[in-house]
Amino acid sequence: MRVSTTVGAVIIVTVTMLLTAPGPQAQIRTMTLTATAPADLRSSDETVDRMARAGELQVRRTDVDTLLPTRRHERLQQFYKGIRVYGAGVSRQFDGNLTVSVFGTIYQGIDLNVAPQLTVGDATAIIARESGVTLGDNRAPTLLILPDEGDYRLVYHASVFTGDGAWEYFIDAGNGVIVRRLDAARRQAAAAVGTGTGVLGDQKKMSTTEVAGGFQAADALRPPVIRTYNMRGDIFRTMSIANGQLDLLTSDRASDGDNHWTDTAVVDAHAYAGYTYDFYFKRFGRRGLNNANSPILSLVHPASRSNVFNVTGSVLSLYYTNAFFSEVFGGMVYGDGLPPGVTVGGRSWDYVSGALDIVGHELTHAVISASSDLIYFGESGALNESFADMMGTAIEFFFQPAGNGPLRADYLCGEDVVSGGGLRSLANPLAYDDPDHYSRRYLGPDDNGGVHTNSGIGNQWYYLAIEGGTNRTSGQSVTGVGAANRDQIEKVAYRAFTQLLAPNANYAAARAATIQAARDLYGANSNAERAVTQSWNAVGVN
Amino acid sequence: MRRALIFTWLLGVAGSGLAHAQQPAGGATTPRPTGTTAAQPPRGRPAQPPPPRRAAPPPFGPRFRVSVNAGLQVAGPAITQDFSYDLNADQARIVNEIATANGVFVDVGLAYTLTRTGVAAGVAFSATSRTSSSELTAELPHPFYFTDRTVQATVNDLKGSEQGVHIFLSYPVPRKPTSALEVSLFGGPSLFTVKQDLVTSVVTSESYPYDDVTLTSATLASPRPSATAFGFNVGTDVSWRLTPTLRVGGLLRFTRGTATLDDGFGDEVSVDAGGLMAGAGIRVIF
Repeated sequence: MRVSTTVGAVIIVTVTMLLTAPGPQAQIRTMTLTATAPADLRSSDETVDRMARAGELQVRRTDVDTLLPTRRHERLQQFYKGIRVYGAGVSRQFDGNLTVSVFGTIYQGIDLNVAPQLTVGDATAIIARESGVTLGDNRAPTLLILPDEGDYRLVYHASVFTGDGAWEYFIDAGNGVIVRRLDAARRQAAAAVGTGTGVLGDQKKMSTTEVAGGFQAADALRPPVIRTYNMRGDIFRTMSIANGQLDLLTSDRASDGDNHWTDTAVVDAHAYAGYTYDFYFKRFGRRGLNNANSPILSLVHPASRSNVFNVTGSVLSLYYTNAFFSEVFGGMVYGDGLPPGVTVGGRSWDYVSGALDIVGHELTHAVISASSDLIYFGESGALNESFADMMGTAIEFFFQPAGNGPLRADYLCGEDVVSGGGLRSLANPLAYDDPDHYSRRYLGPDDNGGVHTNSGIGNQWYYLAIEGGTNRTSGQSVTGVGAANRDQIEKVAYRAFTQLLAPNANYAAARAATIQAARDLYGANSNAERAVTQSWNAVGVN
Repeated sequence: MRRALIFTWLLGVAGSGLAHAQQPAGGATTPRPTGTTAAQPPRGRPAQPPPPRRAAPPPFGPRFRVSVNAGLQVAGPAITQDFSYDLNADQARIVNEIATANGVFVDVGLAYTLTRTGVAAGVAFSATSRTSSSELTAELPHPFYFTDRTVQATVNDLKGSEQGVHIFLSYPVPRKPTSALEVSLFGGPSLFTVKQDLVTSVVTSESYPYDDVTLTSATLASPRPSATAFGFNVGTDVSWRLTPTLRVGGLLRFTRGTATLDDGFGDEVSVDAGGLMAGAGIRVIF
């Protein structure tokens, strides 16, 4: 593979060897690839090619670039003796045969017996014991190598939905110890052609399917399968479906007799899923969640509002005042909100699907999952959340007029269904107790390492890069590209999280990737590159 | 249908043009005496005073005239269709401007002279047909949003036809009896039957994201919409005598009536029938 000689200035150092966990057991060595300059690209390219020949890197997918016709993007997953290494991988951008950029992380020094002591059945039993859920056959745990606590572990991995939440389990394949349990719900942290009335009372069209005796919320016009299911408040059935124990049935599909839909939660979940598909197609040329028109499934009424006083806090926060994307069954679940007059934390909640930005946010998690697959933990998790917030906001501005109040595009998240201004602000994260600067980042263990908190840093970067202004913490000013050019920053962000970043990217990598994306799309020294760079500086990511 | 054909056939046989009484070339007046060879009263009989001369009323000549003309009928105003129908949970709107092209007409008439001054009554049957095109503008609702996609196209090969029955009284412009030129004015009521191709919907080609749409064809009402209307006719007929029974001449007639067509879906279209007709042909007097 030839290395590009057309790429301009050196960006940052490329190959770093990190010893991340000191001590006699420390064996983890990480090679971080962040190459955009010719010299760096050559060595990174050689490394990737050598590992690919050895089978240590395998091409997971190759995508054509929908924004730059001559470009394509290759995603490689690291394997060790045929077992996937969690979070390890490389994304490589080509212009013809020339490599333009390489980003990623490769784990080195793995020396592990990959023959598990436990069987899949053993792991399934452990999960059942811990969660109370017996996974279906198509959700069985799979082996992977987890870099953990300074060492590599052979673990079984599976995701489970329970009444307490959605969890990813990492179980040591040697001794059955649960090594890690992560929140598996890419959640909104605090949430046909017929016509329908939305949650906010607005009229919208529904792309549906006519069946005997009525209509179903199954979009027959857009390329992918887009279906909306009404779980009728049956939380147990919802969880069983999420866990693969039961399949969604045709009878689960939301239906209406005359195609004038009145179930507002169904209307918005279904219509907004279509809007989100449209946005990704029209703005980026992307064909759905996985760029190959994978199904978009939405579940509404996962729990009944009438039972809200009889559920645990976890159920409340997952199935009522939340929305989440589940990789397990590849769909969205939108909480039912709270009955009128009932508040949580002083806030009232309407049907969560009623907020376009929330729907866009959740579906963006699916896009991320199918592309960079940013690990939902730590900084990569914060980036995952932040990119989802950015796209949710971008979708609002794509379909709604700018302004304040219901059905207006703004830089708040979820404000249309959560009273008090919603869940987060991209313009002023501090107002929601989220950091607007890297120095203020949360370092604790809660919320998967503060994924919904530290997203504020990326969110502030996005806002400043578009609108410009001054960061409240650093006092640094940014000249944004302007609202009329917001598509530039949207495309930069999209390019970064779908094509350039690797699963365990951090904010530094996000800076490098977005600058590279701005150069790719708009040229070196363009207004977009300047805004992107200034904005990262302002939020303290250097 | 059968009844209509019979009606048409009858009109064709009995059709009229412009006619009025003819002053025969060799009138039926008493031959005048000519020179010495004039007849004399027999001798020996006293001469009778000649009876007082009375002006003989002009005799009726041939009373019927059949005329056959062909010519050009000038197009009337464009026909405008403007209708809506349900599409994508909304209303599609079609505006179709049908250009009415000039057309060739044929005309057969029969007149009967009523008075010695040549006033005649008659009936004429005219028929014309044309093929025209239209400029169609369609506002088609988007399937996903409350917005329209506007598309324009030309619809070709739209057939139209018009048949008129014109009842008239004609009055001859006074002239020298020996003049071969004859001019008459006429007018009266008309009855029109109009048929016109009308667009009822459009067939489109579109694909995701449905922001653009291509019209592939227009669906026409079937059977072709038809309507009748009353109107009037006025005009002049100019003819030149070739023989006592055969003349050639020209016809200039203006007719007008307004028909209302129904496209079969309850959408009505107003059509101006008739127009200026300019033609030439023969007149047979008998």
